[in-house]
Formats: sequence, C-alpha cells, structure tokens
Amino acid sequence: MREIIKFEKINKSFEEVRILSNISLSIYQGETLVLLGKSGSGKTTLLKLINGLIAPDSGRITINSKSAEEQDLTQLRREIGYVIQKIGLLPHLTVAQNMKVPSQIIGKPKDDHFYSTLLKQVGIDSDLLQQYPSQLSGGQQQRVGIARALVNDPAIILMDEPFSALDPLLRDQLQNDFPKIEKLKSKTIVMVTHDTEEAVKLGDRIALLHEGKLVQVGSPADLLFNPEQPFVADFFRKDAFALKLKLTKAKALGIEDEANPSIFELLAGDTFSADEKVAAINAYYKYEKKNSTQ
Amino acid sequence: MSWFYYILDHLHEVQTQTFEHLYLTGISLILASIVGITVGVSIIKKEKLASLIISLVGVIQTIPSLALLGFLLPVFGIGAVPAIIALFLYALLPIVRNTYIGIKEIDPAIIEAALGMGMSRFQLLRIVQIPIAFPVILGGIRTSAVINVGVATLCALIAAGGLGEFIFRGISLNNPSMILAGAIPASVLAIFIDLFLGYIQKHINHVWKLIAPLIIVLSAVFLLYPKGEVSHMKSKLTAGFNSEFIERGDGYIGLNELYDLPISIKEMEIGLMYEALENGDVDVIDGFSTDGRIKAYNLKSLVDDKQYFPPYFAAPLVHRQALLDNPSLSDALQLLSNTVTDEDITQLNYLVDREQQSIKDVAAQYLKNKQLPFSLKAGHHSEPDVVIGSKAFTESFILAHLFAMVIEGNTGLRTELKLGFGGTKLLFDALRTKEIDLYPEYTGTGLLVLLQPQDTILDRLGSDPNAIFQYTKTEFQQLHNVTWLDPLGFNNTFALMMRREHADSLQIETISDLSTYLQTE
Repeated sequence: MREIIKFEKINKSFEEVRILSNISLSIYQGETLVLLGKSGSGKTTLLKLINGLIAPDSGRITINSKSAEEQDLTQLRREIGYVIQKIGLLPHLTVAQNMKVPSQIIGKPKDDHFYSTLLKQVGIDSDLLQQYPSQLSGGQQQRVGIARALVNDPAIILMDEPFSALDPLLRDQLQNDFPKIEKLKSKTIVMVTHDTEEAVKLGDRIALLHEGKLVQVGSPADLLFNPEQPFVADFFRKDAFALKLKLTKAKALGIEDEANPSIFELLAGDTFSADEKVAAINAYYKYEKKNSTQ
Repeated sequence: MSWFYYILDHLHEVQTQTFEHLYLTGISLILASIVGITVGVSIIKKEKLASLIISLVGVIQTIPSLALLGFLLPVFGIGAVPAIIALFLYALLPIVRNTYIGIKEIDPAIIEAALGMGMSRFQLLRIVQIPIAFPVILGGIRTSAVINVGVATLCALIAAGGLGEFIFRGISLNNPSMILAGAIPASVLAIFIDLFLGYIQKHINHVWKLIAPLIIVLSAVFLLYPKGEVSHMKSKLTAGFNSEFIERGDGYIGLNELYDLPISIKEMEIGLMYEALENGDVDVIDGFSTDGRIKAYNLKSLVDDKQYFPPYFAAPLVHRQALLDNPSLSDALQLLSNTVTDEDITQLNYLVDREQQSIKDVAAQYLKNKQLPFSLKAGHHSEPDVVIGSKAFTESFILAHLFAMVIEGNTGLRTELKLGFGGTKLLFDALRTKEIDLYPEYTGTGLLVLLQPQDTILDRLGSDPNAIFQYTKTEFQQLHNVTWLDPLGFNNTFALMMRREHADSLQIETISDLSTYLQTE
C-alpha cells in the first residue's frame, strides 16, 4: 500500500496549551482513516495540518512524498477536497454556481452536465440546481458540500465532522449513502468525528486521539475488541453505541440474556474468537439494516 | 404654493444647481467608495490598525462641516475641489466601517471552506468576501450618499454651487419660496439617490453588476453637467459675494444697475471671503466698512462715489415686552448711544480678527477706557432676564458683549448671550417670537431687508440717516412690536474691497473705476 500522507513527530501548541504531542501516523492510498476523539483531543488540528490551514510547531508532514513545506499551499489545497461540519456553501450563489467555484478558481470550467451528474451521484436532483443554500435542508446542503469537494477530482478528501450537525435521521441516511458514492470509492479519505458509531461504520482504520496523543491506530474491530489501553475500552464502552452493540449482538449471537452486563466484556475478552467477533459485527449491521428498512 | 411658481420661474437655475449638487455628491461618493472599500478591505487582518483607522475617519465625521470647509480653504482655495474633498472625507466613515464589519461578520465556516478549496487571497476577496459583504457595504454607501446630499448644501458657501445657494440666499433674505426652491430639490435628490441605491441593494446581488449602472449614471451627470461659473459669464476679475449681498435689494443687483459691473461672481460665506481674497481666489469682495480685516489683510475699500450704499447705523433692536418687563434696560443701553465711532469699532474688530484677542477682553478694555461701569462676567446666566443675540460675524459678537456687560454693570438684570445666528431672518424671527430679547442690528438692514418698503418711500427718505432711522423705528414699532433704541454712533455700510496692491496696480480707487476697468477690452 502506498503511503500518501505521513505525519512525523508533530507537535503543536496554541497559546501555551499543548494540542498535539509527538504524533506520527501514516495514511495509505484509498483508505478511509477516521480521526476519532472527544472535543479538544486535537483531531481537527491534525486534519488541518494536512491542507496547511494550520502549521505545526515542529515535526514533518509529507504528502505524496513531498514535504508540505516545499509545496505551494494554495496549489496543495486545490488538490485536496475539503468538507466541514458547517459546510460553508457561498450563501449568495445558487447550488449550480457553488458547484462551479472550485473549477472556476483553477481556471478549468466544466460543462453543466458534469455538475448535474456529480450532484445526482450524491443524491441531489437537478431541480435543486437553481436554489440557494438557505433553501436546502441541512442534509441536502452537506450532499452539495461533498459533491463540491469532488469537482476537481482530488485524490485526497478531508472531512471535518461532516455529519455531526445533522439531525439523527439525516445523519443515518448520509452515513449509509456515503460509502456508496461511486466517486469516493477510490479516494483517500481522512475523516474527523467524535461519533464512535460513525467511526466504526465508515472507517477502514480508526486513529483514536486523547489529549493530543495518539492512543491506538487500527481497524474498528481492533479498537473494539483488542484495546491496547484501558482508555480505548472505556471510550467505546461509555458510548451509547457500545450499549446498543452489546444488546443487539447478544441477540444476534443467540445470547438470550440481554440484560447481562458482562456480555460486552465477553465480546471484548477472549471468550469469542476474532472470527466470531467479526461475525457478531456483521450480524449487528444486518440487524440494523433490517430494522431501518422496516 | 408660491414656492412652486418660484421654482417654475427659476427652473433653469434649479436645474443647474441640482446638477451641480449631484455632481458634488456623486464624484465625492465614488471617490469615497473606491478609497473606503480599499481601506476597509486592507485592514481586515489587522485589528489594531483597523480600530485606529476607524476612529480616525470617525473623528473627521465630528468636525463641523463649515469648520472642515474652513480648514480646506487655505490649502485648496474655493470652488468644487475643496467641496469634493470635504464631502469625500465625510463619506469615508460609513463606507470604511461597513466594509470592515461586513467582511468581518462573514461566517468563518465560509472563509474556511473557501480557503480549504485553494482560493488565493484575491480570489477569496473577489468571489467570497466582497460579494457576501456587498449589501452591508452598499448600506454604508447609501448612508454616505444621504449625508452628502445634506452636507453639499453647505458647499454653496465656498462657491462650489449646488442647491445650498437658494437655501442660504433664502435664509438671509427672509424668502421662504427661495429656501424651498433649494430644499425641495435637495430632499427629492436625497430620496432619489437612496431609492436608487436601495434598488441596487435588493436586486443586484453581484458587486460587478454595479459597475455598469454606475458608469451610466456618471456619464449622464458629466454630459448634462452645465459648464461654466454660476453667473455664466467670464470677466477679467472675479468677485466673491455672500449670498445675502447677491440677492439683497441694496446689494449687488442695485449696485450693478447703478454702476454697471459685468463681473463673474462666486458665491461664498462671509467668514471665508477675506481668506479667498487674500489667496487670490477672487479679486473683489463685498464687506463692511468697519471690518478689522480691511486693515489686517491690507485691503482697499473702494469709494462709493455715487453714494449707492445707504447708511448702516448699528443700534440695539429690542423686543418691546423686554423693555416693559425690565424698566432699567433701556437706560443702561442708552449709556452706549453715540459713543462708538467708526475708528473705535474698526479698531475693536481689528484686535479680535487680527490680534486674536478674546472678544470679552476687547469689549471690557473698551468700556474701561470709556469709563462706563460694566460686569466682566456678564452673559452667562442660566436663568436670564435678558437674552442677547448676535449675527455670525465679529462686530456683531463684540456689540452683543458690550450690551451684556453694560446691562449687568448698571442694572441688576441677568443676561445670557446666544451668539452667531446664521442670517438676518433667523435672528429677527427669534426676536419677534421673543426667544431673544435684543440684538445689534443696522438701520439699513432693518429698512431694506426686514421692512422692504416701496421704491417711492425709499426715494422720499433718500440717504438722510435721521429720516431713515425715524421711519424704520416707527414701522418696526407698529408692525413687529419691536423697538429701535438710539444708534451707537458708527456707520458700518457695505463696501467693495480689493487687495491694495492689486487695486493700485489697476489704478482702481472708486467703484466707477472698477466699472470702467471691467468694461475695457
């Protein structure tokens, strides 16, 4: 696997407060890496280091085997898609006009068909093209935001809490639709979230941050079932998702005693083999899907 | 509806002045928009500098308009240039502030997204910041436009033209139709500009679309802008006359009939005329024969060889009720009657205007020399028995102070000074309604401006000072319930003045000489 983004010994402070300490992390081509952590953990800062919106105090960032310092920031950003929680569509422009901005700034405009096809892929009908952002729902706006990040076909997409501001129903919809977007499948995606469920659902790998330090990096199953530190286990256990997971999985595995509080520990411990655990997660998703289609 | 017919009668002049007004407002507004937006944009990233600059342009806003024109006069002279500069300075604050605030208040998420997609600084400004802040910026321009239409009326005082000409002439001549002929088009203009910019604000959502209509409006103004001076005539010399003198029966109109003076005229404010003459912006001004600045600026007062100007004896003009309420008032003021000679008053004016002595000190010193009892602290009571007004020039200030000091020095009455009324009409109205109790007035002004008698009466009175005084006194008593006390002694009549060397080099001694010089090719 080709290394596309590489952090080496990154340190960053704001006004004497340490935000990131000694972060080293590699992100590989085509994967979706989720930066997971509570607010204040430094995950967003780490993301913004990639497109140079924030510069590190020390350490090295390499993108496409070139040091970030060697690159022209404006040029670098044009090659990276950027999706943020508050979306940031231009309020004075229509959806269609908003879509044209990224290609406009690099002087390579595309025909109208291109934009409407792209919007269709993210689930936006062409009858919304002439609407202004304020006339769209939050979910529609974020779909446009994602489509906008894809206009110049960047190899890397950065997403900062893309679904957090949406209400739960829309969030679930977008989270479910997101992996199906054709254009996104080949991209390297770095996504910031505080939502463990989202991280497990969407991430190929999760990097868990706590107080500016990288706690564990690995697949969702690794973090769920082989926590390297008590903090990791706690992090997932405390979450509502963990409880839901615990109960539904207990059902899926045929463990009838739903109320048994030790089930999660069983899942996390050695009682089940790794294969059984993966089976449990799959069973959970099927169960969830069935529930949502009903 | 007399004002309506007045406007119809003077339609050409109204048109000219409206275009002049639009020109002054438009040019200054466009300059202020260009500079204001540029400044507003360039201070976005520098918060300390921003607050400094915004307070700085805010300070300009606090300078009274006329004072600002006064500051600009020595540097830029008179006419459209200093007027446009003053209007430009006034228009800056709302535009700079709104540009800064408009851009500052853009949702940071929008800026982040825009930077994140790789916009350069200039692209950010062009595609994101200015278009989004555009309604707010335009709001600033709109505010400035309305302010400027108002302030531009004052520019008439420095010969820049505009609708202020009618307004100021009307105020000084006690002619409401004339005031309305300036005020109504000015209001219409303000409303029109506000609506126009409001339309743009609503319907043109892209800043670049603004340029086309602006260019159209600008070229229209330029094409239609009437060329030439106010009097529409070029002559060898230029006169700077104040609005009152231009329109008054005993001013330029009659003077021109008698002497024949084909001279181009710039209209300007009394206080600014001497400076303009000194700087060579104009060659002839009207003034008062006892003005201290004649000596101070080394001016030559042209001899009125055909005795055109009537006598102007200064006297206290008192509301009769004030005399009845305060029996001692009349006697106190009579102490001053026939005590002030032409030389005395000229010297007092000189001390204040040139030597920069305080009016209070000059008045006190004078009363001391005359051995009249006086009170140095007079004129500042908050609950006065007698309120004393004055016009807006040095001599009137001095006389008002003399009155106050003598009244308080010789009676138990408390006085308050309300100085600097802009024009005879305003001051006289204040007296008639007893907002003030007395002020120093001149017999000639009383006769010709306030009474405006028929020509047959004027002919009968001739130039006999005594007859004029008695006639005026009687008429005022009957018509306005206002009493003329005895004159102070000096005669401050109108005079035409030139720079001494200039007049000498042209061998001009009298007004007839001036007429001859103007008519020779």
